[in-house]
Amino acid sequence: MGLAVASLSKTYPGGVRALEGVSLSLGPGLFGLLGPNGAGKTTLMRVVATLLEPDSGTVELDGIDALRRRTEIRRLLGYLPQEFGLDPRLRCEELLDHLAVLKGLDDRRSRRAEVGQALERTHLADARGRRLGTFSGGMKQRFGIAQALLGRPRLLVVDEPTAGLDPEERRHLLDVLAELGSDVVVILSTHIVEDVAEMCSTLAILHRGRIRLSGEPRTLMHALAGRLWEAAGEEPASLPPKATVLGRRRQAGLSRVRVLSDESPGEGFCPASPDLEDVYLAALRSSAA
Amino acid sequence: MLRAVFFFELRYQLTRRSTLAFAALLFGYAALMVARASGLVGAPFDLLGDGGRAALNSPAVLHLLVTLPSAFGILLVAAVAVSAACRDVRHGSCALYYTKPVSERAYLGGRLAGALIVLAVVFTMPVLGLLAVTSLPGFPPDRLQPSQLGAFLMPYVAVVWPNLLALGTLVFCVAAARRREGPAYALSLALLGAWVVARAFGSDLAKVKLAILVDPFGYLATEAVMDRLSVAARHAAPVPLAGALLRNRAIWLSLAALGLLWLLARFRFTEATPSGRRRQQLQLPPASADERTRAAGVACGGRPPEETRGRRRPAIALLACARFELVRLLSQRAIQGGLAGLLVVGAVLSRTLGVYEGTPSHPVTFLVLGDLANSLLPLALLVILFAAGELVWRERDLSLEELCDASPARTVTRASAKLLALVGLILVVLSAVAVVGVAAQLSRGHLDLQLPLYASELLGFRLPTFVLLGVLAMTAHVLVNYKPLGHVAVAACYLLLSNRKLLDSSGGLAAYASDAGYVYSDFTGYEPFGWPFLVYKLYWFAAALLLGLLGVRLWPRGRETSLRARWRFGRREHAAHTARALAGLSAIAFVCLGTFIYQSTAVRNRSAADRVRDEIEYERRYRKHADLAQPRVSAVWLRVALQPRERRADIEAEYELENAGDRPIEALHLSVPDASSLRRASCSRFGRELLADSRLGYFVFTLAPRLAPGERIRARFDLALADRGFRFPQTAPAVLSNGTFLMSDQWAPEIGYQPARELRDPLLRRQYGLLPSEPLPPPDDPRALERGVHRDADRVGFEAVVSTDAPEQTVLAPGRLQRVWSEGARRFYAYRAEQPIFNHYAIVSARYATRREDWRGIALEVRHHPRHGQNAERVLRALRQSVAWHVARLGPCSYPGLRVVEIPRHAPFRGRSYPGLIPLVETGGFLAQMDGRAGEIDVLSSLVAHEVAHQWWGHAVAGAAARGGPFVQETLAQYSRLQLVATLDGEAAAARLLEYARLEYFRGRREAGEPEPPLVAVAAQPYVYYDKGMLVMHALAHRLGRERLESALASYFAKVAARRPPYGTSLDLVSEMRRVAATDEQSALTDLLERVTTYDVRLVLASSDPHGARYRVSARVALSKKQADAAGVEVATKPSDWVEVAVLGAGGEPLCRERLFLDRSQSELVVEVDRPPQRVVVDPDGLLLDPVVDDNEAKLGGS
Repeated sequence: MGLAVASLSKTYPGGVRALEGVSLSLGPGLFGLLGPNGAGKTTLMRVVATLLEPDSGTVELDGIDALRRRTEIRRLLGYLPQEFGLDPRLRCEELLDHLAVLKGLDDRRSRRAEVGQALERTHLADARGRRLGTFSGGMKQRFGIAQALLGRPRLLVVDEPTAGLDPEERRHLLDVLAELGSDVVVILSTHIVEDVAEMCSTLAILHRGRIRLSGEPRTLMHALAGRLWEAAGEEPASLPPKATVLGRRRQAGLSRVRVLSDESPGEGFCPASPDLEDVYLAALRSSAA
Repeated sequence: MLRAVFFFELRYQLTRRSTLAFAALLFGYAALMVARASGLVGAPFDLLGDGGRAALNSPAVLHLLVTLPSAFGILLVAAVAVSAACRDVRHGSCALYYTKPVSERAYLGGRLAGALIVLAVVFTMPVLGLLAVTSLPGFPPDRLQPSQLGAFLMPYVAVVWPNLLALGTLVFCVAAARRREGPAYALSLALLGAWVVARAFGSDLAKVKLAILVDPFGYLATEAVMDRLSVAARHAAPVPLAGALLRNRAIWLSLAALGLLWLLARFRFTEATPSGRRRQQLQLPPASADERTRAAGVACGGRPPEETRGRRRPAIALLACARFELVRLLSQRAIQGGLAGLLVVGAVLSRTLGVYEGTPSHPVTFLVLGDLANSLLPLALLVILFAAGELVWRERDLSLEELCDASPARTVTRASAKLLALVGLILVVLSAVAVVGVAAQLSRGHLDLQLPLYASELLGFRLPTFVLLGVLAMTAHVLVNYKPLGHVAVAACYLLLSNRKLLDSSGGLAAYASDAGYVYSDFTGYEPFGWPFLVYKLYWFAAALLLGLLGVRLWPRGRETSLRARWRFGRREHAAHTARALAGLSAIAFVCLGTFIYQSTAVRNRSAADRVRDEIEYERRYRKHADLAQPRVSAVWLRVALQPRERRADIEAEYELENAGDRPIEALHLSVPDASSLRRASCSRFGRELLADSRLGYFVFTLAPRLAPGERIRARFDLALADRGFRFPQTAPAVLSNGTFLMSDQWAPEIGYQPARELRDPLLRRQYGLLPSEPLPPPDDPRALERGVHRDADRVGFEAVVSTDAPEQTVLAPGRLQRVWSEGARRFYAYRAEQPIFNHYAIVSARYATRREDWRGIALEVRHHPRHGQNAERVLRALRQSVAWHVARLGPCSYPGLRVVEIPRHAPFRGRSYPGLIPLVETGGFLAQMDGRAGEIDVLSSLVAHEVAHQWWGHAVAGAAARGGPFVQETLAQYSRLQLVATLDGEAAAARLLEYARLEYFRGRREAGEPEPPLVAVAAQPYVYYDKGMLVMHALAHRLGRERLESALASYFAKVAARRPPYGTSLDLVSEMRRVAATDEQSALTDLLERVTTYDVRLVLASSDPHGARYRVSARVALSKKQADAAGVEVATKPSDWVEVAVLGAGGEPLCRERLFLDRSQSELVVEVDRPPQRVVVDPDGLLLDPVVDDNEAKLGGS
């Protein structure tokens, strides 16, 4: 049971190839989709959220064909788009209630309870009567989560939810996601590695429309153990043939360069312990090569 | 689910400010109209043109109030439908909706239904406004009748609801399918365009049917339905949903249904946008962010490129910004659509430019521009007002406002750049109009383009008004600061400004952007309209500058929204001294120019309101003298000195006055039309001046000694007609630098009280406590035989010496030219009428080209503008034939010559007939472009024929001042016209002329407010004496035969001409006709002349079978006949009429004609013909007055 995506491809009119044969299989729990800007994350999310027709491939949730039986999927779906606007004239609770009706919550009492719960969970209860035009960026994002939680979705698709949020708002949001029941499939797309590191039991790295790497964070980090080196200062002039510079890190004003290599890249380098960012960068570098 | 969406939509739309504002606007409009029509507010005005007879809750008034906002209401329809269809996309929240388990059908259906119901609610406002006002305590109860539910409902059922349903659905479909506002607004503009085109086509016989179907608002179709109804029926019952209206509604509703099906088939909850290019722009914000920022930088007047950095060059920044704004504007789809729409509508219309009665004119520039101004410019203005809103809102629509607001560019620079861009757009739009005009001219082979005239009309006269309105629209958007509401506010302003009443009551001083009006003529150019136009526009530009300063001060820069906060915010923005100085200067200019205009229009000249007061006062003070015995004018000598360049004439008029009564006369009463022009009145017998009212123009002089019966005296009047500055509305003075047309009724002193100068408007009369105007006496009143339309004279001897200081001009006057000579720089013309004429004459002077010929001793002449000679030969031919026709039938021509002269188009008529002198206006057919098609009417020749006929019917013999008088004069002239068109252009042209007369007659019936009189008692109803008159005479010519009819006319003419004075009544004419008619024709005369009879004749069924070598055709004909009583109520009457049925062959040639007597509602006819029949036509000659003729014929398709 869970979400199964198989050989999805999508090319936009104009020739941009956003997805090329993407396959994923996810069970309940938080799944992180990492990738740089323009990798195809949003396209993948939109396809899964029934908003975009792929050129080929299939998407199934619990055995339901998500591309054909859209209405059924939409009953099980909660979606938070990367960018969205809200009619500034409407009040928070008014719109949430309407969206709940659309979600299929016909019974007024249970709908009210559900809306109240969603507001509570996203800490918007105090702002329920305010017009959406007066919301801050973080509140708007939380409203997005609140509407996505309506109707107890089985599949939650959240696209770059933490972009542009302050640390506290970001914390808030990730907490809400973490508190979701264990039987919900949550896809979290982001280009922020820490989000995934903190939250997700599994992840995939998408780059230029292809899945470059997937698995559990711990396993992936483990795979780099012993191959990661670090040295102070600038990039060395010469490197062994199979070595790749992953990048530099600054810590307290000091710059340190990290290199992936089977052997020591040279003088001054000492072994370093890998983290998820290394995994991410290594995947990008290898796919670029 | 549909229900949930529906109710949410309902709540949403009903609480939108723009919806509420629009509802208030409709409520206010209806309330104001009714309040004004009832006299509750201001002077009462005539809502239906019926003299205020109809109750203000009658079906006719309700229909008008409810359906009138349809066309303008399309803006609201579009606003609501667009918001319902694509506001989720605009707000960026569509993903939230599309991922819910709702079907597309429920989502769209709920949204559409909600929007339509809201529209229906808003459009009930006119009725609520009416009810609110009529239930006010002071409302006059005599303007109400018992309410009818049907009267309230039918305008909605027949017109408004179908409009909302069809047009709202279409706009919704386009908006939802394209997911953008632009195409939907373009569609609503296109619908207005369709209406404009339909209206233009509606006056062309060949296209009227198509026009009725195309008109999306059903106005033309309603008129077509109303054509079938009498006045009484229209006032008593609502317009039914039937006939053309039903067809029109069916077509538009089916279009809407197709649109909905199309939408449901293609709309999916996906984010797919229609164009790939656009989608990528949206998809890749990082790539284009840089460009956007740069664009924003230019847009908000940020630092211009490197090389100018360091030095501030505001002019360059301003121009760069303006250019950028204009380019952005022109790349907007809605604007492009609007421009394309203008070109398309223009291209479609170009075929009807200058067409009159189906005959096109030479597409001379001023005619083309005039037609385009009526049809295209309102649409152009719509594009411009829409663009004004887009300009003010552009940054905020693109969410760029913070980038731009934080830039160092000054608000005044940004706002001015936007205004400049708007001016640029106006220039583009006006160029498009010019392109349409030039293309129309070239496509018709007209190469004399007169491009300077395009420039002066479009740039000189149209541009300023558009710019003024653009400033108003932008300021309104800034003040309202909410886009949809801003559009409503602009629309409301525009409606208010186009209100004639506001304009007139303030003399143009309160109606923003107004002017005193102007007319172009090839004789005088824009003289004398240019100068007042300029003063008015300067006055309004001063106001616009104030508005603009206010707009800049309140410009929404930053996040402040309230007016007060913006006002404070604005203070820190601007160089206060400069702004204050500018505001002060423009306020001073505004006040000074306003005072100047007021001085000129209301102090030096009489304003329109003053003139009404004068008329009332004249009647109140002097009516008591109406029946006083006064001498009559028996001869007139004139010395007129024209100074065309100064637009001035000095006149010395000498009258011979005769006491024609049997008692001595003690005092002479004098009425002078233009009171201030009289310099001196003198007479050897004048004693004391008893009264000199130089404001109302009424003077009384005692006669010492008294004027004995039969005695004659001479009196002399010195007058100076000068152009006294400008008036409102501006009218052309009689004397112009070229094209003087000086009519006696404008200036000549009249003897005694003149009822013709009384106030006519029945509503105003009632309001000012005047009794209703005295109706004309009936034709059997014995006094009628002694009185013509001129009260102070019958026929007079006439001599005129006219001089001019423009020797290149020719002067014309009635009578024979005796002598021409020069004294210094002045040239003199002496005219003398060789036999007395009616006391009604005119003097014409202009630079002319001339053509002459002599016909049996009568000098025929046509004088025309040198560029308008295309049809001069035709005029001569028409003159010759008309004179010959009348001489053969009625007797010799009374005058030694007949001259047709062209005069400028300022005159309030197309043609007139003075003794031997026929002035026709330049737009009356001199420019007609005849191409010799069969059935083409030569409008100029037909006009000439009508006016030549007046030399007999009008001058040799005149209609008495009684009801039926115009029948004698105008109807008989129309008969001559019809006969001459048949002679000159053929029977097909005559048939077309009759078809237009039928159209005009039924249109006149529709628009008339009062019951229609029968022809024998017709008074001031031109649609009866001209149009019905022609139809009736045509029917009589068929019934009695031309010879018998014309012999009746000839004997009538001889009888009246022998009378002194020669006034004829309609009763004499009818009895002459009855004399020549057979017994069984008498009832037809009764129906046609003495009753108001209409018919509905139809071909119910027609079939044909081969019958041996021949064909048997059977046809069933239905006839119903209605007669209206004095109150206009139509009653079905049992028919007993002959109806002709024709069977036509393949080439349209008649195979057989049979007369069928119908004395019941249906009858059958069976005939045999030799050749295969094609069509059956009932009443092929149009002898019955039938509003609908397309059911009179059928094609035969075998058996």
